[in-house]
This record gives sequence, structure tokens and C-alpha cells, in this order.
Amino acid sequence: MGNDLKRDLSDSELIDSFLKDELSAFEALYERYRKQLYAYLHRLLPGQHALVEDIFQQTWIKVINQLHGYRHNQKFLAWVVRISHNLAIDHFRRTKREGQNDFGNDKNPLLSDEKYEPWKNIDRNELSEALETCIRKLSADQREVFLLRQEDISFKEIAEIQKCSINTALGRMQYAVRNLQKQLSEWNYKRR
Amino acid sequence: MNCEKAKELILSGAESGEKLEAHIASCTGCRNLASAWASLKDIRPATIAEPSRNLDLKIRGAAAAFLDNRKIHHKVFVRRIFMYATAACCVFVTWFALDNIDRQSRAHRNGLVSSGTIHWSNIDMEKDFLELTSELELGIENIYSGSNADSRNEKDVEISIPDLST
Repeated sequence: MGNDLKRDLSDSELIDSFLKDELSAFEALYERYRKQLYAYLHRLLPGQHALVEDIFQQTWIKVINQLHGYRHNQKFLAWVVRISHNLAIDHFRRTKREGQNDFGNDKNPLLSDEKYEPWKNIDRNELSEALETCIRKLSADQREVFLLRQEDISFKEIAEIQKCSINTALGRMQYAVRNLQKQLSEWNYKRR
Repeated sequence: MNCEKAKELILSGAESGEKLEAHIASCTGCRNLASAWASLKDIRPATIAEPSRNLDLKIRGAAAAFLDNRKIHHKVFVRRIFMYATAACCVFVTWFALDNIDRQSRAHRNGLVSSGTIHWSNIDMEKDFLELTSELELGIENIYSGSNADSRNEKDVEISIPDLST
């Protein structure tokens, strides 16, 4: 079966094909998610290119070895992200590095009552750059929830990834959105 | 609808129903959140980072190696099963042979069983022999009793018995 035909297959079908010794099925699956996962890791661990590459590679190797245990009722991307999340946690535990990328460190963000969408008329490229800068300033947990929601991963799955309750994930998301809103307002005010 | 439920619906991307719309219209905080999330959720970095070609090759190579290893493991598994099956057959055949020899030697020691057990293949011959001896015995009995009326003996046996009284 050619790669073009494989594009129409679901994730579960590709996984089944791969487990029946079809390498091209894995290639199609990898092609489907490689950019998404890599970009996500880049945004989650900003400025740590080597670490991102390392976790990306380890994630896929784990995915290959654990595909037989994949439950088809869960979203494949959420499952892959959970693996990379655990690898990142292991990495930080090993290096005992603390600070902004310590996944266990949840800072209490400040809430603000900024007017919504103060950046409405700003050039999209400029805004996306500003947003990336603001995302980097979020605590690791908030950043992760925000990025996962951008990837359309449900709160239930986020809660499973972060090993917390759905309400905690929801709370982190609210803080993340409000923090970003506040930071973008500040950024907009400064550039004027 | 309270704010908690409304925020959950807004952030989880659920379809906005009438109740949610009404709440957003009346609550500034939720309206603010809904608007902020709506504008932020689709913003992606202008330049999206991509994995290098080298990284792609490594991962694809790992997938190919995984399948190769699995094939080797499968072959080894099949071979092992075959070996175990062969070994089991050998053990069974040996046990059967030893058991048979043991039975035969026990039968040898027991005289009565021996003829039936050891010369199992000659059973027909033994049957014939037994029949013949029975017939002979019967014939002799008949001779001594003076009657030769046995239906099974179709041939008359004429034996001159010497008179021993003279």
C-alpha cells in the first residue's frame, strides 16, 4: 500500500498495520505528527534546542516500542505528548535543575482585569512573536496546558498528562490565558 | 449558568449554547476570557520549527530496526517451539519403549501371562494349536469311552486295540 493511500487511514489503522510489519504505516504516522510534536516541544522548552531534539527522539523510540500497548480509545497525539511529558520530567529530575522549566513548580500567577483583545489590530506575525515571548514567561504547567489546548487536546487528557484533576488543569488554563492577556497588553502599551 | 461552568465550556471549546451566550453577555469576566481565548488559540509562531533530516532518519531507522528485531524474535520463537515439540516427542517415544520393555520383562517372570504377552503376534498360531490339542484330547477320550459320535470329528478313527486279557 502506497504512502498516499496511507494518508487516508486513521491512526489506529496505521498502528495496526505497523504492528503487522508494515514499516510504511509508521512512516505515515510519523509524518502526520512529527511537525506538530516538534513544534510543541520547542514551545514547551523554549531555547533548549538540544533537549528538544533529545526528548523528541526518545519519545518516538518509546512510541515504537510501546505501540502494542496503545489503547485505541485515546487520542494518539495526547498519548505521544504524555510520553514526552514524562521524559521531560525524568530529565529534570535527573539533572535536578530547578526554575522555570521545573514541571513540578507551579507559581501563582497574577490576575489582571485588562481589557480583552488590546492587540486586535496588530500584525499577526508580530503578535505571534510577542505571544511566543509571553508563553515563555508562563510557569511550566500553565505553558503546557495552554500549548496542549492549542493542539486541541481535551482537559481530560491534559489532566492525565499532568497527573492532576481536570479542575486543576482548567484553573491553570484560566491563569495562562489571563497572564498572556496581561503580558500582551503590557507589550502593546510599550510598543506604542 | 455559573461562571465556573461557563469558563469550563469556553476553554474546552464546547459549542456555545443559548445558556452560555446569555451568561457571556451578562458577565464581563467570562466575556473577557472567551474573547482572549478565541483570539489566542489559533496564533502559532510565524516560523514553525521542524525536526532535522538526520533526526527523521534516526527515528525511521529505529522503527525499521524494531520490525527486524521482531522478525528475528519470531523466528527464534518458532524454532524454540519446534525444538521443544521434538524433544517432547523423543521423551514420549523413549518412555513408551522403556515401559513396554519393562512390561515384557515382568511378563517373562510371570509364566502364565508370558505366552499371551510375549508372543502376542503368534496368537493365531496358538489358537490353532490349542484347537488341535483339544480335538486330539477329545478324540482320545472318545476312543477310551468307545464312542466316536462327536459331531466335530467327521473322520472315523480306526484303532485296533489288542486284547490284553488273553
